[in-house]
Amino acid sequence: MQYYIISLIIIVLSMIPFFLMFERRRPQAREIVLIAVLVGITVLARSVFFMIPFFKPMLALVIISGIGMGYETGVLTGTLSAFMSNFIFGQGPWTPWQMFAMGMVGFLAGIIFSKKYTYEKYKYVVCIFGLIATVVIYGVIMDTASVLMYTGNITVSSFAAAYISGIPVNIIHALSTVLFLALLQKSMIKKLNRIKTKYQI
Amino acid sequence: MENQFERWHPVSQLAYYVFVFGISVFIMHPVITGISFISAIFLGIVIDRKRFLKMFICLYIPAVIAGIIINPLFSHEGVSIIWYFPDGNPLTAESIIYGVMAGIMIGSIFTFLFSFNKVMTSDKVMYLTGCVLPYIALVISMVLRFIPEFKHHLSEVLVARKCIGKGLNEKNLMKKIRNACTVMSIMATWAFESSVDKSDSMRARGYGICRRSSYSIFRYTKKDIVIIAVILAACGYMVYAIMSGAVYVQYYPCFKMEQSKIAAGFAYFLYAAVCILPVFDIWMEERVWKSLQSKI
Amino acid sequence: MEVFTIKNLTFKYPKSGNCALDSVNLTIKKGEFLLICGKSGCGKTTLIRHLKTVLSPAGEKDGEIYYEGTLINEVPDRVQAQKIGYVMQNPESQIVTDKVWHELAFGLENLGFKNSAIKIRVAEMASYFGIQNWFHRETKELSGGQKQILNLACIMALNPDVIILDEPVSQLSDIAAREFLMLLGKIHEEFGVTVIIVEHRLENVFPMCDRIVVMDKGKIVSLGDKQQTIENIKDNDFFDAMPVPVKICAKLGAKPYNVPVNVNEGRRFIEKYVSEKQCVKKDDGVHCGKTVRENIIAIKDVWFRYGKNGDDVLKGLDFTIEKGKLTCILGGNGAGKTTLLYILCGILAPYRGKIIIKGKNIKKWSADGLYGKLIGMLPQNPAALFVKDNVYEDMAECIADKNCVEKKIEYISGLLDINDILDKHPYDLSGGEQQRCALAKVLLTEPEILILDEPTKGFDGFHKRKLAEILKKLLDDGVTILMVSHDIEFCAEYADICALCFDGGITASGNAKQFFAGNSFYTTSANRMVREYFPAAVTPGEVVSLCSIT
Repeated sequence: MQYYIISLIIIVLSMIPFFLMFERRRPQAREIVLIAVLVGITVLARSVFFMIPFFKPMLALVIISGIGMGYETGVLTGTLSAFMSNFIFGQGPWTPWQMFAMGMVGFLAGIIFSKKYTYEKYKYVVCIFGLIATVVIYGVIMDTASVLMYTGNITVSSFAAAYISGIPVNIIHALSTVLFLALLQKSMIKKLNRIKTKYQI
Repeated sequence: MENQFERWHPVSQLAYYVFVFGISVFIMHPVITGISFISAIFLGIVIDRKRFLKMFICLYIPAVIAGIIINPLFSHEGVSIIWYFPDGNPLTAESIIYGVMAGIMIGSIFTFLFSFNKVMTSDKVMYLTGCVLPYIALVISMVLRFIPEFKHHLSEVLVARKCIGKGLNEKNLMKKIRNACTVMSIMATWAFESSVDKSDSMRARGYGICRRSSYSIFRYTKKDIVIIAVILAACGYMVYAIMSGAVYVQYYPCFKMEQSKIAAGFAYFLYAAVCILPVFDIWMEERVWKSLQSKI
Repeated sequence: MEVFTIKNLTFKYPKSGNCALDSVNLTIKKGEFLLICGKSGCGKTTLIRHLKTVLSPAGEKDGEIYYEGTLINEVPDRVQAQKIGYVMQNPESQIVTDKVWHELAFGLENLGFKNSAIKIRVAEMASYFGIQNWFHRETKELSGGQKQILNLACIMALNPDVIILDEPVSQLSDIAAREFLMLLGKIHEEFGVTVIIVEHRLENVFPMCDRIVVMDKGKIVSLGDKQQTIENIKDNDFFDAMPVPVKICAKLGAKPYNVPVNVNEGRRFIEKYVSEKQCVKKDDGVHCGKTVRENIIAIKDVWFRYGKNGDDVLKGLDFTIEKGKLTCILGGNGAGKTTLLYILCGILAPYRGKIIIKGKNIKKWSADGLYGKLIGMLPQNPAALFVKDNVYEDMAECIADKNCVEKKIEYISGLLDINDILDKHPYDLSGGEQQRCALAKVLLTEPEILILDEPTKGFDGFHKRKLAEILKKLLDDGVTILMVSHDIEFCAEYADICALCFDGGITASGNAKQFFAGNSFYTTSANRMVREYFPAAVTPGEVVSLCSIT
């Protein structure tokens, strides 16, 4: 269990710079509003598709916000969406991990795509990114977290068991992310661009 | 109606939960973990009896049992061998004890989480965040404002679309998802457009002129100060007791607990006293009201 | 002393040919209550947005604006934020935070006030505005009227010298609007705050204000006090927006500069007028021809509540809707009107009673048969219907037969006069245009029964008349129209049948003229003015024509 506490401290520390950066900068009204809107939409999407298990549009939306608005917004949308949606679905020891994992996905999406994204060129790349990010980043982080949370013994075999047993769930999650990216990518990015010109960003 | 515990200052509540979560995760000691579990159950019952019992029986007990069963299956350490599994691995008394303790510990964390989710409402979390990160806290407050607004608009859209024959009741799953995505995407448009008004309204009221302050309606009372002091003191003593080995437990290779009686006893007492503090407070309040009523 | 001085302000939006403001000159005096009115799109909102730098629209600007003698751009942001308050049109979209207390403190937080200072100011505001009872509530639970009062209180918390309001009551029901304006009047009187209000629903505001600016096509066409304004715009078509007593009395030849502006003055005027001119008293004017009635919808003993433990919203409601007529259901907030609409559309199901549409119980209609061909509903918020990036695509979505998309859209857009805006983004349209496009979408599904929820909300007289024309055309095509509304004047003018919904039932219904003539409080202001002499006259036009018969 000490491992859990130590790892928790590490992931919390890794998120803090992003929050501090945001605070230091004194973000403008439109940035704050846009992040709040993106988080709101993402949380709403999670509760709309709540009925279908493991079929979550959240990561897709986080990736889209990262692409459309840059890595900082990606991180904040990811972490805050995980945090806020857990007010509906219940907070627990998993919350920081979810925040970290989703923040990471948003961060990477922003870093990789935000500068050069065009729909025609990158639509498939983004879908593949979604697939990999869901399985490799989100899936692995959450499976690691559950090993740390629920079993005391930190051995290679217990991690291996957790990753292997997590594969089916992660695959479904990844497929849903890809599906949502395919369906929403074009229109959402277009909307973000439209609003960006409206705000003169 | 809020109970006495829910009326504590958020900082006191946070201190309480950090303390109980921290200690119960930090050391898996039979007495300490037992105290956690029992007081968490009491707290759950006091806060929302009906829902708690339902959750307790359906979710927490199975989690405890799972913990108890799983450990001996995987862990074969320990010297007191009871039996051999068909594959030749031993079943040890130590692994069973460890499993039971691990199960109870996870059970107590879940049980504390039940009350945590009830007590630490979003506005308190927002306040606590605001103490350190005022701008993030503002985003949280705005998200809390947007979600119901979006939900309302979503139901408007769904009704409007149903009435022109574009409802969501498609049989084909793929079409259903596609329809849902159309609705989602229009929700996004609407949300973005309405955000323009929001940011105007913020700027019209001086947002961005200087560094924001963060106002709150929570007030420290004398009681809160006492509570925080007690928790801090207890925390200090517990850490000392654990570090110095006054409270000590070892599971493998053989089960061992501490020897010194007084220091450990005091630690148990202190921990139990803090754990049960909210329940005690709620109970005291009820007594006061009853006695006030009987005087009339 | 002047608060604002506007000198030769000309403004042009980017990518637009016409000037939104055309050499506007205006001085606004300290402590006055100034009303700015004019048709939609006349530039009134553009003008007041220029009075606060952060809200000024982007575009080509020429001319100067001074705030208390300083150029507005040189007034520090902090002073502008505190001293110039701005309340926007939509009560919903201005609220930023989730709790009422937080919203009240929001502006003060922005200015970096200390916690103790905010506490006092917030307490003051909450007490003055009577907010203390909902101080701890979440903003989502408030009614529209409460939301707008909260917005005003938030502005007042900053202790402004000027409050600028952009159609603050256009989204509110009549009662909520009156309450809001009363509060505004009180603030103006008690604190001497300068009030600049833009509004097109003049009925309630007009009697309150000191001076009135009337704008048209970016220019100020009239500026003066009430009587001066009445005199100035007598021949302008904006005169139609004036309060009913003004319209009637001016038409009947009231002396210039002495025109009654409220119902009470109007009654006295009519009294004198009738005795002088010896008009023929007519109290039997209500005739209604018996025609063959054919019911298209019958609602029989319908009971409804939200949730098992809720209160009954509809309590044994009985009503029939005639084919080919325009039926209006009136009533206050929470009377169950919208619930009734939802039940008629099959979105909610009553727990007792039945609804028969074209002789068949609503439960037996399939979703495909009911929506799209039989019933179409235009929601209160027309924006809820748009899902695409331009109007044309949005309309095309509603046409099942892909071969005649173009033909159908051409026909409908001709009917509704939206030819020019087909390629625009639905969210870039004005309220009236949005509504017409949404209506086009509904009509493309070719419903026999058209249901409208508060279609006149937030519209000026011109758009109301346009809507009425469209409804007339549809009625001629044999469509049955049912609408729910607060707008008594509109219903009196255009409806065939009116019904009053109250406390979960229909308390009165009948031929529109009969209905209003029979009511003594819930009736048009024209009727209230002249009911002693001409009980059957409910619209200004009727009053004028009856008075002219001597």
